[in-house]
Amino acid sequence: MYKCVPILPSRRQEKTVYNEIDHKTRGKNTVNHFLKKPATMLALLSMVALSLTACGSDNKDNNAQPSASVSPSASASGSAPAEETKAPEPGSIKLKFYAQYSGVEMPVYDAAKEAMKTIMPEVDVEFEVAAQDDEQKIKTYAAAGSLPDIFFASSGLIETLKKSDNLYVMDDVVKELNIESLLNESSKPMLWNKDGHSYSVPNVGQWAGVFYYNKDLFAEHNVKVPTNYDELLEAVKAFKAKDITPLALFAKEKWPGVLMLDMAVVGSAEPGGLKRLDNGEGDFSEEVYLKGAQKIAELIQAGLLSKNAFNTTADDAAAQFKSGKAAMLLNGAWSMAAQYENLGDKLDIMYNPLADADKADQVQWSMSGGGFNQGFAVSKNSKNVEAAAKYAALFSIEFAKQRVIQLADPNSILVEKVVPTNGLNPVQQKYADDSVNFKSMTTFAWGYENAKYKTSIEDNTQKLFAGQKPEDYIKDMSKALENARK
Amino acid sequence: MNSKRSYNIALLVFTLPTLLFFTVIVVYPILQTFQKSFFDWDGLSTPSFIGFDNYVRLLDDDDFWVSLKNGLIFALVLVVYQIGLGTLLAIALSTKSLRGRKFFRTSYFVPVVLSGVVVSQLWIAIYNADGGLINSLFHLFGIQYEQAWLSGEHTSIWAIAFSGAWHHLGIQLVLIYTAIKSIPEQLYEAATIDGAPFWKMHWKITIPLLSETYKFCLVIAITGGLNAFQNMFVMTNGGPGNISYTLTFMMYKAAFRSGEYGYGSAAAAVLVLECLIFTILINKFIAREKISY
Repeated sequence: MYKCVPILPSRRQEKTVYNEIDHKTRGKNTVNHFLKKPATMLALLSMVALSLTACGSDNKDNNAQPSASVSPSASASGSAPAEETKAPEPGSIKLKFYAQYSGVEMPVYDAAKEAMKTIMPEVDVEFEVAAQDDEQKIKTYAAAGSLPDIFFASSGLIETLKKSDNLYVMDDVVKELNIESLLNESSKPMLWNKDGHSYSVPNVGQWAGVFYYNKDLFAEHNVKVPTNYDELLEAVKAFKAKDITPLALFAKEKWPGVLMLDMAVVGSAEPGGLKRLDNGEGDFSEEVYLKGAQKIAELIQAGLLSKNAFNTTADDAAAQFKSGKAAMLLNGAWSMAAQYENLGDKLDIMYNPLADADKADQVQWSMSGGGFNQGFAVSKNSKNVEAAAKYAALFSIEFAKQRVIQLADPNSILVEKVVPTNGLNPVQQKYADDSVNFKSMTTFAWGYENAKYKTSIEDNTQKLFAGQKPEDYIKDMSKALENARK
Repeated sequence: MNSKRSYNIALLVFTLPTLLFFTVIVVYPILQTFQKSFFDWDGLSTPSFIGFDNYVRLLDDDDFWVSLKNGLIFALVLVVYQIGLGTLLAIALSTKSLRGRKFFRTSYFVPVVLSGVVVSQLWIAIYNADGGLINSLFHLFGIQYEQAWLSGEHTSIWAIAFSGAWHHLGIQLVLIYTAIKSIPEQLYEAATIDGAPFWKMHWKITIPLLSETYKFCLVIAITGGLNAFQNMFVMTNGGPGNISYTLTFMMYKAAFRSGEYGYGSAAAAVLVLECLIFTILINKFIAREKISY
C-alpha cells in the first residue's frame, strides 16, 4: 500500500504561498514595513539610552566651589579657624576614595565619613576597596590618568607617583589646617616626605613588628620565654622536640620574613636595620647583615617553621597559633586586638627575641617595623583637587581618631587624648605603655621606597628562609642592591 | 574573473572585522611590547631609550634562566600528561565495548569548567606538607617520602605543572577524541579482518591519522606551558624566592612589583619569540606529510 502524498499545496498553503509571492513581487511597501520596525525600535532605544545618560550625570559640572568650614573635629589647641561660608549644597561634590575599606576597618571608615559630613557637608565620598595586588591597580589608574580623587598611598607609591607628577602637593592644605599641631611628636615626621613636601597626611601610627606568644604553652612545656637570640634558639629546639611548631610564619607573603631578618639585624645593634640600605647607606658586605642571615639560617635549621610555611596565609598562621599548634606568631602590632580575641589572657608579646645576648639591653627599644611616610594622598588631576585635599587631610585625622574609638588602637598619632569605646586589652595596654620608650623604627617591607630593592629583598629573603646558605644570600643581595641603586 | 574577484572581496569583507579586532587586541600590544623593551620606563613617567640594555641584563639575571627552565618543564608536563594520557583515554573512550563511556567523557571534562583559582586551592590542599592527601597517603602506607611539594626547590614546578595539566586535560581529550571519531570505521574493520591486535591497530592507524590534530594540540600545550602564570601566582606566588617563576611571572614581577616596565617588556618579548619559535618548529616538523589510507 502506498500512502498518497498531496502534490499540490492545500488551499491554505496556496493562500500562504500567494501572500508570500505577493509580498515579494510587490516588495517595497511590505519590506519597508518590516524594516521600519527594527529601525523604530533602534530609534526608541537610542532615545531611552540618551535620556538615561542625561539623568545619570553626576553633576560634577554643577558643583559649588568648595568653601565649607574646615575646622577639624579635634578640640586640641591650635585648631584651624573656622570659616563661615554660604551653605553649599550637601553632597554636591562627589569624590572617589580608594582605600582598604574592608574587614575590621570598615566601621572606622564609615564613622570617619559620618563625622566628616558635619565638617565638609558639601562632600560625598564613594569608597572603592583597594585590591591587595602590590598596588598594581592604583598604578594602572595613574597610567590611565584616572586616579581616584583620594587614595591610600604607601611610601613606595608616593615615590612612584611623585616622579610621574600625579600627586597633589599638600603643603598649603597642611599649613592652612594646621595639621601638624594635631599630631604627636613621633607622628609629625610622617607628614613630610624627604624632599620637604607633604604628599599625604598620616592616618595611623607607626606600628612595630612583634612576636605574639602563648604564655600557657611556654609554661606547660617548661620553656623559658626568650629575651635574646640564644634563648630563642633553645626555645625553638624545645618546641620542635615536642612536635609544636615554634613559629607560625605566614611565609606565603614575603614581608614577614623580611621583618624577621630586620629584627635579626637590629638585634645586632644596627638600629637602621634593612631600611638604611633602602636609604642608600651601607651594603650587604657589612658584618651585621651576614650575622642576621646566619641567625635566620640557624633557626630554620633548628626547625623554626612548619614544612608548609610557604603555603601558609595570615589566616592559616593565626589559626595555628590560636589552636595551640604554634607557640609564637610574628605580625604587626595592629593585630593585637584580633590575637587577644583568639587567645585571651594566654597572649603576650615580645619585641625582639633575636637580639644578641650581650646587646639585648642596648637594643631593647630599637624597633623593627613602622617608620614610613604614608597616608591619604590626592590626585593632582582631580576635578575637585582643593576640596579633595582638604577632605583627605581632615579625614586622616578623623580616621586616626575613630581607629582609637572603634578599634582601641593604642598607637594614636594625635595629640588629643581619645578614649576607646571598649578600652584597651592588657596586651594593647602594655604596648601603649611601652611605646613611649621606642627610640627608633625601621620599616615594614612595603615602606621601602626603592621598588627594585623591595622586590629583591622580598624574594631573596624567602629563599633564605627556604634553606639557602647565608653566604649565598649575601652574595645575591649584594648584586641585587647594586642593581637597585643604579 | 568577475566572480573570482567578487569572491575575494566577499572573503575580505567577512574576515576584515575579525582581523581588525585581532590586530588591535593582539598585534598592536605585541608590537608595543617590543618597542617598550628598548626603554627604561616605570609605566608612568616618560620612557628613556636604552637600546639592548634590558636584554643584556636578562642574560645576567638568575630569575631569567630559572624562568626559562621552569617554562620548559611546565610545557613538557603538559605535553606528556595532556597529549599522552589524553590519547590513551580518547582511544579507550572510542572503544565501543567500554561501558559508561558517556559518564567518563563528562567526568574527564569536569575539571576544565572549574576556575583556575578553585583548582589551585584544591591542589594546595592536596600538596599540603602538614597533612595533605599525598603526604597522608605516604604516611598511611609507611613510606618515608613526605615532601614540601610546593616549596621544595626540585618539586615545586613539577607539582604546579601537574595541577595545570590535570586542569585542562579535558580540552586535549575532546580534541583528540573528536579526531579519532572522524577516522573511517572501515580502516579499523580492515585491520581487524587482517588480524591486527588492538594496540597495533591504533599505533598504525589512529596515531598517524591524528598527526594534524597533534600539531594543534602540541602548539596549545607548549605555548600554554611557556605562558603559565595563574597556577604559580595562586599556589606559591612564585616562591619561595624565584623557584616557581616562569617568564610570565618574571614579567609580572618586573613590571608590577619593581616598576620596571621596560625590563618586563623585554621578558615578554623573549616569551613571544620563544612561543613563535616553537610554533614554527612544530609546524615544520610535525605532520609534514598528509597521511591517508
